[in-house]
Order: sequence, then structure tokens, then C-alpha cells
Amino acid sequence: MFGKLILIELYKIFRKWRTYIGFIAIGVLLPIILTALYYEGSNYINFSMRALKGSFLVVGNLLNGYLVGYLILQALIIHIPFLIVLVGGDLMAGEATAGTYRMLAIRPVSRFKILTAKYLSGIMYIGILLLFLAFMSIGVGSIIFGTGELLVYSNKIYIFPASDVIWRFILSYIFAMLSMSTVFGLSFLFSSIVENAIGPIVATMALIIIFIILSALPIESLAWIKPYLFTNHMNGWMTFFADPVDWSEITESALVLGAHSVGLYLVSLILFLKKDILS
Amino acid sequence: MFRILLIALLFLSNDAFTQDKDADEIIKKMQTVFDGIKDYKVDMTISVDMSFLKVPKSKATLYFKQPDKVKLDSKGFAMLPKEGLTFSPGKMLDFAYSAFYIKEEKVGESNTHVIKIIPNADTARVLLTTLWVDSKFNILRKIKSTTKSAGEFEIELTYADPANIKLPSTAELTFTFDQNKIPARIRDEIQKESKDQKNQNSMNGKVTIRYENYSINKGLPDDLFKEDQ
Repeated sequence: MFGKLILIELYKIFRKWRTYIGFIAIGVLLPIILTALYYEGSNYINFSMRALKGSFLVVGNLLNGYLVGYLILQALIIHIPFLIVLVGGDLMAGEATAGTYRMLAIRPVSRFKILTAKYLSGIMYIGILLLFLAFMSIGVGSIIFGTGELLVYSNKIYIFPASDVIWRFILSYIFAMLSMSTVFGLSFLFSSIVENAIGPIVATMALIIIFIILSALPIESLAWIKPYLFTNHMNGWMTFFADPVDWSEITESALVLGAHSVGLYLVSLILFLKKDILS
Repeated sequence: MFRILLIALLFLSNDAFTQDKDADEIIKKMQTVFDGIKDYKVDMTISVDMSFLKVPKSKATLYFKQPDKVKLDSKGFAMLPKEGLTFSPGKMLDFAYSAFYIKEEKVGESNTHVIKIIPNADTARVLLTTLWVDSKFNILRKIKSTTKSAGEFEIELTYADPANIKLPSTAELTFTFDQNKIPARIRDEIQKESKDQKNQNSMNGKVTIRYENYSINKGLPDDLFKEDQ
């Protein structure tokens, strides 16, 4: 029964054209990035390795599908929230806009199940979008560029063996899923409060932008607030591409994001259970 | 000026006065031994240890053909220091120089002649090189060099069967790396991690290479070196 509810919600999600904006954006952007990397990716490698090439003879294919996957994840993960809130902001408020809230609530299904099914189907949408991103970047990138060692240019220059890369990507995407679930949870909460989808979409994005600005400002008096901003923990996926992996930092970020996700879901649930549906 | 000072220091040292062997002759003998190797191919396992770089242990094959053809081949990523890559004395001493016999010294279990090399011209890339040449087999045991662009480096070589194979079985290269060549972001991170390296212009690095499966004088074709020379 509950599974069917989720399927219905997924059907409703994928019936709306705005759901496909994320897929279209990734589907259009990635071939452009892949083409650019195909022709100019070696410049990036040369730039990253310039410190070493004077003293070392270097061989090997560092421009490969793994590097492409890493660069794309790094570049796009900041923008994926924009695509996710398009769906998250519409899930509840869309019912109000369409005038189907009351009809939904009078069915012999509890409000708890209705909201949870909507929430979980939204989470599944995020999973599908991220899987599509992974396929288009790592999958297509590996077909075009092949596989090999992964060059990561962060606090050090890391070169990971090909056999040491896949698990890092898997955990990074799981972490990215957690980050995006928090963003989704926020838009879902706003969506359960109002009756128009535009408000939750704009409000979520505005809040994320404010948090990101607060995180980035090098002002000492604001430093105390940074650990409490969930946006400060969203880049935790990058920690998997270090050696050794800082598991305590990842655990802390995962707990903050997880607590936000659960908290936002619970607040949405309480609001929906107490909501006086008039539309 | 630096070169003149070095020469003066060498002649003023006690060791210099005890010079009784011909440094040029020792280098010539070493060169003759190396010239007996027309070409070689060897499998290498390379370990790199540098504070700003994390690289997995890599495997590669090195091809060398006299006088200076080199090719590095690897299925995956590999990096090898350019200094002392082929152990060719001719390549290492490819500038006009003056050689001074200093003393005899033990390197491991081997007796060596210690020779200091000073370039005759200011244009040479090297400021000072010290060679430890095995007195029995006339092969290089150790090299210490100060260069203008690559800082200091030291290579210590061990041989599994020096009587038959005049090429090393392991090489341990320690070197200094100019911090200014490292991107600022990475340099700051490294300095944060290692307070003792703060305000220094260089950091240390170490590369260990294990050589296996030498194939010597098998007549490597020139075509092999066309791309990567």
C-alpha cells in the first residue's frame, strides 16, 4: 500500500515538465564540458603538474573518465540544489495550487503516509538525478577518455590509483545525496507551509545563498555561526578525495546534514498533520 | 665568485693536500665501464615521498640507448626524477669541469674514491658535484650535487651483482624542492602542517627506485625512442 503511494507520487513528479529541467540541464551541459575537456583537458593536467614537470619525467593518462567525473562533480554540485528545489518546492504546494489538497486528505490514507510518501519520492528523485549526473560524467567520460589514476588538486596533489577511486566516488555520491536531501527537506518544509510553489523555490534558494555567503565571509565575529550552517558541510564529499580520509570530519558533516534532513521532515510532518486544509 | 670560493676551500682542506690519485683517470675508467653498456631495458618500481604530493607506488620500464636516448614506459601513471635518470656519467658531466680527488671513503661495504667536480664555466647548470666511485668496479655508488635550478640532490646506488651487471638494483634519491615552484594554496597548507618548514624556501623529497629484470646490450631499435626522447 505504502509502496503504491510512493509510486503514485513518483508518477506525479515525472508527469510535470519541471522535473525534467534538471535532466535537460545536465544533458546539455555535460556534452559541452566533455567536448571542452577533450580538446583542452591536457592544459588542466599541465597546469596541475607544472610544479613537478621541471624535475620529473611524467608518463600516464591523467586525463581520464575519473578526472572528468571529479571535475564535473566539483563544478556542478553547488548548482544541483537549484534543480532539486524545483521539485521539492512543488511537492506539497503544488497540491494546493491544483486544488487537490482536500481531495488527497479525505482518502483513506493517513496524512503521515501521504507526506512521507511525498518526501520519499522526492528523495528518490534526487537519487535518480545524481545517478544521471554520475552516468553522464564518470560513465560517458570513461567511454570517451578511458580510465586511469585520478589527479586531485586540493590541499596537496593527490594521484590515486585507478583501483582506489571507485569507492571514493560511491561514498561521495552518497554524501552528495545527503547534502541534497537537506536542501530538498528545506524546500519541502516551505512547500508544506504555503500554497504556491514559487515561494518555496525562491525562499529555499535565498536561504542557501545567504548561508553560503555567511560561510564564505572572512569575518571573525561570524566565525562561531559557521559550524551550524548546513551549507558549510555540503562540500564534505570532497574529503573522500584525500589521503588519509578524515572520517571524523565526514561523520560530523554527515550528522549535521542528517539531523537537518530528519528535523526538516519532522517539522513538515507536524505542520501537515495540524494543517487546516481549506483549499 | 662562488666557484672561486669553492676551489679555494678545496685546496685549503687537508684532504686536498693528500691528493695522490688522478680524479680524471677515475672518471675516465667509470665512463669506460658505462660505455660498455650500449643499451638497456629495466623494470622499475618507484616510490615517491614528498610532503605536497601523494603518489601511489608505480611500475614503469626504462629504455636507454647510448649516448642519451631515453624512454619511460608505463601502463599507468609514473614519475621519475630527471636527475641521474640513466646513471650515464657522460650525461651527468656534460659540461667542462675540473675534477679533484679528495679521499677514499666507505659507502656501505664498498671502498670508494671521492671526487669533487667543479664546472669551469658559470653557465653550467651544476654548481658542485661530488662523486663516490667504487674503487673495485669503477661504478657510481653515490652522487651529491648542487644545481642552479633544481637545488640539491643526492643519489645513493646499490648493486646486486656489480661484477656482472654494472647497473644498480636500487637507487635512493633525496632532493630539495623549491617551495616557490609549488602553487601558493598547497604551499600554505603544507606550511600549516609542518611548522618547521615554515619560512624555508625548500622542502625535502625522496624517491626510491627498485630495478629488476635488466636486459643489457640486446640492440634496442632507434625507433623505440622516437616519441619520448
